Amino acid sequence: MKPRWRKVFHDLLDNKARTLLVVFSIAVGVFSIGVIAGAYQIISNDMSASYSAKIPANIELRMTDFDEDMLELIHNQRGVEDAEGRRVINIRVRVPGTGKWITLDLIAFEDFEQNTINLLSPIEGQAMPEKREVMLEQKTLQHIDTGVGGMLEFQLPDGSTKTLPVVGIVQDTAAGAGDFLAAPSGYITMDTLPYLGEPELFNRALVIVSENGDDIFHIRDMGAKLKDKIEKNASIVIRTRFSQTHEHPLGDTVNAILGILLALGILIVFLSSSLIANTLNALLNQHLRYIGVIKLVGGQRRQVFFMYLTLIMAFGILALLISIPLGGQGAYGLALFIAGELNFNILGYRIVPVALIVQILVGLLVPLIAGLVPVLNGSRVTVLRALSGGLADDERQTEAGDVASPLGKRLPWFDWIQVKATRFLAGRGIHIPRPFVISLRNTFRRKSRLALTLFTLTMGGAIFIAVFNVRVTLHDYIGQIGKYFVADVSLDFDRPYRLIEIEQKVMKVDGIQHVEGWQFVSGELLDENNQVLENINVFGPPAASELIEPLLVAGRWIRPDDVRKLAVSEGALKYFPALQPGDNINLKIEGRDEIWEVVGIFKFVDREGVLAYAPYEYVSRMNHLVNRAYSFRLVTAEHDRPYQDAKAEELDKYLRDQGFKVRVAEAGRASLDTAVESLDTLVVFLLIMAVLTAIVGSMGLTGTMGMNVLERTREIGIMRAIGADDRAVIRTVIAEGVFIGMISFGLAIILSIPFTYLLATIVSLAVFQTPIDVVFTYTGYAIWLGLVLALSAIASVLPARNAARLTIREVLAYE
Amino acid sequence: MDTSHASHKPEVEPGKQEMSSSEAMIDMHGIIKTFKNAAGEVTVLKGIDLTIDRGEFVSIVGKSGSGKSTLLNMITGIDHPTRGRMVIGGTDIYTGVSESQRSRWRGRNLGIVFQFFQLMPMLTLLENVMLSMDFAELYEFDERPERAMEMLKLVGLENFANKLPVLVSTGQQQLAAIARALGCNPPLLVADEPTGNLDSKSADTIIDLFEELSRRGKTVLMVTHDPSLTSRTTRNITIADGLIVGDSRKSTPNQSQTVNRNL
Repeated sequence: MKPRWRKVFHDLLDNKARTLLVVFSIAVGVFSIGVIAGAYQIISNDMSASYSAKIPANIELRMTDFDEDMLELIHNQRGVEDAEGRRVINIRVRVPGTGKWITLDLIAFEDFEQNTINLLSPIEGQAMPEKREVMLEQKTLQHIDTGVGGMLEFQLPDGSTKTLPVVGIVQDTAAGAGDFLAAPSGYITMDTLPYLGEPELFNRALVIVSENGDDIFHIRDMGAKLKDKIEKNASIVIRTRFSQTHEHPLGDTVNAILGILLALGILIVFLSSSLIANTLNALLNQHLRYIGVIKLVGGQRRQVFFMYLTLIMAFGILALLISIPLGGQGAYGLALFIAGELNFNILGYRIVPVALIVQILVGLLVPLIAGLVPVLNGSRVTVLRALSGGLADDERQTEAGDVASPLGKRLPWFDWIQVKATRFLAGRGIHIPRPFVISLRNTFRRKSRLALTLFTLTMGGAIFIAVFNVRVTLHDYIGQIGKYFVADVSLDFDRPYRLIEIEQKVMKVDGIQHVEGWQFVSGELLDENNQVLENINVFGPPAASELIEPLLVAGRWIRPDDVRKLAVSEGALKYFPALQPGDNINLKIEGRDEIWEVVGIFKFVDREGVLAYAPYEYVSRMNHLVNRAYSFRLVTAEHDRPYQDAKAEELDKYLRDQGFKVRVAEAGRASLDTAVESLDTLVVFLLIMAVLTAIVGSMGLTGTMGMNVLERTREIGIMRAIGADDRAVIRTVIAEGVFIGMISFGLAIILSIPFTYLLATIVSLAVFQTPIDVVFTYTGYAIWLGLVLALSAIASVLPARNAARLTIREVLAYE
Repeated sequence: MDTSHASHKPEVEPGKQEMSSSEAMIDMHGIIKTFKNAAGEVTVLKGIDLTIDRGEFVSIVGKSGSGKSTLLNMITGIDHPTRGRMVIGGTDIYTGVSESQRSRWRGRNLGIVFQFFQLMPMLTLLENVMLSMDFAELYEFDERPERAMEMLKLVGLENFANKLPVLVSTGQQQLAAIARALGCNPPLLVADEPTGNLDSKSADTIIDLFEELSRRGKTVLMVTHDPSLTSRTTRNITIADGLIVGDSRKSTPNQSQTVNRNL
């Protein structure tokens, strides 16, 4: 090996702490990119592959009860490849002897063996149930504590209970695929239905289109045609849902979220590059004498340049050795987690070539780019300057604008300000302890290094704070959405009841203060050619209801005398961007094309179609259910979740005992809380990225403090010589680190504002398809303040301890 | 190292001076210092026995590599001997004493003046002088500026108190370093080549100041290889190859010289 390459090798091993710092700072960035890029690729591919492998229905028609003949009719329509019938009942279930009931979507199959749509994958136990047996979807086990071999107790509408054994656990990738809030599900055979008091009839048709299975417009069109056909045959389609064959319904959302994480990953690489630049600058400064000697004995600039370039490449390769395997595992782990959350399968661990190439490029190019300027400067230095160690001195000894001394020497203006400030304070009797003055003034001695450190730490802090703000923003938005669900208890019945009848009954229950009946009607939103654009679900609360506090974007809320007038959610703007109050829209309701006037547009999260409100007064007439309703909203004396749960439970029992056909009695906050949990999963990912940026920031600070201490070894020796004990030295170094941390905190506060807006907008567009109002919270600021203080103290402890350990003789020897 | 000596350990309490009132300021016996490196072992001090009384103005001379700076490092506690006993002002500074404790002891009992001044570059001259008081926690916090200014007046730098070291001459920097060394009023002042980096006029001023301090009762120990300076001290110790080869005393330093503070 040539001596100069041996020197490169020696430089790698000479200062192991420095090598580790550089290698880890590169590795963190490469790891983040590897995880995100790998997970992005795996999920993009496997999410749809896993979903489409189970032959998802293109059209799901939720209908009134129908039989085999109707199913045959659907099956025989042109453009229909396949059709299957299911009966889905919403039923309460619990483990016998326990108090907690949950609501289950119990899905009855005609024939599990002949099943060709929305296929189930057996996980445990039997692959299909026999008569009077039940299988559970694997995610249902998160809600109920049972398993294969256990028994489940089902509560029938009349209040009686039946038990079924759990014989298998399956995965149903279609269950909840389009909805974060879907109910848990179980599976039975059709001949089990009578045992549960249900008729052996279907109420849901699953349809596969024969062509253009990935053309959502074609699928919607087919859905509308089928609905027409069905309704002409005296059945009613309550709701339709459309899905493409090869695209997971949540694919866009997940990809958007991964896109945000990718942006943060790139930022981490960017931050770690500033750390690399800092470290290489210090390294080159320390090596100036060596460079001088190399040049003195005939070394050329090019040779010096390539020596240090090789050193940087070696740092990059070492970082890749760490980050590639970890990044691969991390990507798989992240993909697995998301797959678990969204109930799809990963095809197995694999190396993602694109992610690997990105990692290698980032791992080699970023350090090269970051180190280019220091290496170029180092290789260009003259022998004289290198041997005199000129670059190792503090920056900017003299510059224009500095303050002249009587001896003609000039003081850098910033030092002059610092001295003046201390004198000003001293003149007013405020004396700052000198060790602390050293910490304060040391902070600004290496200004470019300080700038890079502050940049890294500030970015980390700003993102960290922004993530907390985004979390609160999302929760606040959910809270605002909650204003559409102000009722404390929702009561749904299997048949309509007179308003007065329900009111008289429920008001007898202690704690019930108010009740109102709501109507509901579903239809389709049509374009100008009467082609189906999207489902529309029209709620019909009393116009004067106080149980909705709409967030109006334009126009007004519904009035009792409104006829064929509605307030529509801003989801409609996706189809009619210029939609304004006063405009008419075409709807298909129960097979009829109707023109409705839009009176207002409100904010809402549209997950399954567009939401609209029309007054009960009109909708009840339309439904021929005047003074009656299937659905009731109640207000209780207290509004917390446990009270709501208790009252829902009490009402359910009370009304069932009175013979009412209660389908579900649920706390008002139930679905909101589930939504919050889903959002928290997203926030956790953002937080992980924020913590990674914080780690890079603190590594930057550790590196900076280490370099500062190394360069000030002589001064530390002087301090020891004039009486500084270990504590005094450590305190001085830590105070400097903490001071840098505090400056970065101040800057992070400012920077967190635009970051919060940016991140909140991107996330809300990805999740809610609409920008939302940003809310700030002190939590992120407080936690980051604590964290940055702790991080900067910890980052300084090691260099400080090293400084304290130096004997004065070593210090003098260093000089 | 001999640990049987019954002298004080440097327990440091704020506001207390640890030096005892015994006659000898420095009492060392059998000081050996061996350095180990890849090439083997080198013994720099080969068993030094030396006693220096209070108020003496002592010069230690010797050629480069003779061991004089190493001996000074042993006296100041900057480095520790391989063997031997070092008692400063009645305190055994190496027996059961950590480096950190020794630093604290040094701040309270010893003033050091280096060849290259070693002022903290980011502090003004006044702050540099106050720094040693801060570390030693001597004098009330609010008294320290006044005390530091007194020291700067003593060395003639009161008009430069708020200058950073970079803005004053090297002679003034060394005077400031002496002011700092005197900040905690230590009975012992140790100087390592204090004039080695100064012009002759500045060097004269420094030696005048040392004489003045010696007359005021301070023990001043100065390492130099400038023979012209040895005539100004009361005692001259010569070291060669790690051993004391000469030790001569004079009656008193020249009383007639006055301190020229106008550098």
